Amino acid sequence: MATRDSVWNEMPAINRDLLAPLLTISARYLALVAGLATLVAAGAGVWLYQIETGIGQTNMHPPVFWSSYIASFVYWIGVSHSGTFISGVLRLTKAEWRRPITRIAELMTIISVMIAALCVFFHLGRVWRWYYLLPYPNQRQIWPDFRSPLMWDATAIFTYATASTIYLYLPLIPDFALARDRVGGWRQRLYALLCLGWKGSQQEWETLNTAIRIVTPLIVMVMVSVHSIVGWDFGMSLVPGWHTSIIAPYFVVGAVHSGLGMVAIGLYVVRRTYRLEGYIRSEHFDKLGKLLVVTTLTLAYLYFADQLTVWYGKKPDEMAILHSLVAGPYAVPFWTMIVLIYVGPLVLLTAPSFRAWPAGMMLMGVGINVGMYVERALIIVPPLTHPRLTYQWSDYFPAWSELVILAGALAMAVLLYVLLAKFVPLISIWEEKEGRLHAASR
Amino acid sequence: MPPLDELEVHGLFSGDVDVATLCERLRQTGVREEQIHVLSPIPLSSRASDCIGSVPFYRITIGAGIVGIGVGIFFAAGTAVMYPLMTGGKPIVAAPVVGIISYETMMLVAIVMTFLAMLVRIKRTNSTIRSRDVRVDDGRVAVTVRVTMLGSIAGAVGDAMEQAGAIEVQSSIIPSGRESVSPSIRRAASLLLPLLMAGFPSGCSQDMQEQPSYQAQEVPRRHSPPGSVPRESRRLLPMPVERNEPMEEAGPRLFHINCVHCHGEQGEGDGPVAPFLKERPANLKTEKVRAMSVEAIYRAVTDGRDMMPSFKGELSAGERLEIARFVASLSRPSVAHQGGEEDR
Repeated sequence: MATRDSVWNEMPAINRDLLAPLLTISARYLALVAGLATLVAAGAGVWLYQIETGIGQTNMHPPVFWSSYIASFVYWIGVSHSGTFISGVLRLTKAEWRRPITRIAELMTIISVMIAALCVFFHLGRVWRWYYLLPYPNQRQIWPDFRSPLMWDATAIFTYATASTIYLYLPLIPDFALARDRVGGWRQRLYALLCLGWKGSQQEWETLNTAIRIVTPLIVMVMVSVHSIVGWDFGMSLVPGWHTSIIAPYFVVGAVHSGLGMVAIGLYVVRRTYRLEGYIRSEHFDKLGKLLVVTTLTLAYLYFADQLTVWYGKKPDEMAILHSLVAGPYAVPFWTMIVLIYVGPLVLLTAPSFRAWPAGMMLMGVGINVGMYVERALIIVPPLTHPRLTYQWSDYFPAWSELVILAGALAMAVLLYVLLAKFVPLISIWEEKEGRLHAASR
Repeated sequence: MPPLDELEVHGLFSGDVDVATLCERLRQTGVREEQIHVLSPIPLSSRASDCIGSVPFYRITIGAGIVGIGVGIFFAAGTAVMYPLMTGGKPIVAAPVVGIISYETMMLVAIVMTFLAMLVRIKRTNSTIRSRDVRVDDGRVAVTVRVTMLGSIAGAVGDAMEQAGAIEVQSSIIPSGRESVSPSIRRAASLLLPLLMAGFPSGCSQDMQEQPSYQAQEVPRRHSPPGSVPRESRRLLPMPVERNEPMEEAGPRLFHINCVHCHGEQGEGDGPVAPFLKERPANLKTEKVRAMSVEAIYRAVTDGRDMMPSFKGELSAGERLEIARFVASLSRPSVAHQGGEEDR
């Protein structure tokens, strides 16, 4: 057991370990960046092609007006709940094990909110006129209709993106100060600017802690509202399969589910790449696994309640969708999803030995995220291909252009993360030190 | 008298120094509480109840939240009143919508203002401390005390630090009046300026100007386009108009196609679209309309009036005249048969 003395003495080692990723650039890193940049460029090229030739390049057609881009938007907004949930809720509950995880998760939040916003732009026809959506006094004398859930969504996501950037930045200030003194080059000036001249006096700590404690509960409340409103984009319409009051909590829990899965992937990769086994221990994977069991059960419960109501009511419009999922054209993705997000996590994560196995947890995270992506697509597509009037029934599979653009977006998310790893300490250094001191005092 | 130079006494301690006892000793030497700064790599206490001046931090958040609610109400309710548009049977100002938007703006303004207040507070606090010791982050605690040179107690402060187990004690002179606020202002400007500039392009586009049309202040065209008529001719009734169908049928038929959706079947301003309009369409049977000549009504149909659009593009001059005659006949049954010539 470490004593308080030994914790103070190991602080130089902690600084060294956690700043090391910022100071080294290997050939493999450069190759990864180049590979990802190529994918991003491919996606950007195809997007330009889509802009040039029109949104008809996609396989969207009446009555399928929302498809892969909106599914990806919902998915990425969901992933963004990783940071706020892990960091916000665990900080509120003063869970000590959060410390090495929060920064990794908060970075995911910022990046995935950006990617989600990008997906909306992929979906826009005549995207160069995007500013028509902004509420500003304009010569056309038009104004956004705030009664549309899409406007609620835009407002909520703007709030969420701003708030989560602030939330990421607050605990970064002391770490930027630390990096300013220890990292040279062009970054030093940027760190000096970003750390606000941090000196580490008790008054500064008190101010910072006050701000963090005020912002944390607020951002958790924003997080819940954001995915609720994304759910209401669907729930407020009268489309069978969407028009259900359970959709908001179902979306929120689903978002946390995929977010936690993504954090498991991030933890594994960061730990392995930078040899941070001393910081990200199997205990953290274990706790994450337990949280995932909770979200699995909650999500399954909400989904069952929703589908049970549909099944018992036997309304033809809704039954057509349920049939198409369970035994119709969407049966393969549907059952894959059931296994990946419900059965798999429930069977494997309830075994303590599996939870303590980092590589297994990473694979579980991949499975959950693939499953949740399919789930988002299955929320959007089957209700649209099965409208109330059967003569309109239709089918949909993404066009090659949609797939390339979305692959480019995924590559961009990874690329941003990889680049930020060279600028931001991936583990909150001062919080790690504080956590060790707390542990030693107990 | 010019301000006096100051002296900063800087002591470096091991991480587990008893800060409370040290501060007590320093106070005994005559140093005031606000002159002592304890620098550490982690917060030494979990205190989080900060005030800005005498205002507790959380009150700034609450105040900003209330302002945010106002912003939400302005956007969701205020602009709905300015741009009344009926959709989906919802009222123009719908309480649940105002609630949702206000919730988001409340959170936004509260979080941003809390953040800005923290920025100001941190900048203000650390600008009074001159130097940062790099070794602090390696698990040391530094204590700085700032005292005036005159009748200095710097020696006593240094002794107190050494007695408390300081690893190192240094003092440095801070020349008065040298500290300027300009670096911090420059830094703030370098942050704000790009932000401000990023906001400009969004309001710049003037769509009409992007068209390949004739611009304001352009050299006049030499020739009018073919088929154009002198401006003043708009006022003249195109007489005589050849009638292909009897007046009794053309007027009501055209009125029924073009006018009833606003003015109503009987011309009483109660058409099916009327409830959705900002201003009620005119009742064509009132005294005001009765007082208008056929030409005046023709002008109204041609150029539009108040909210009513112009029908120049939709209808020929003859058709507009037939409508004008029919409208006049609604309040004056005799007009229909006279043809309106005497009104000119």
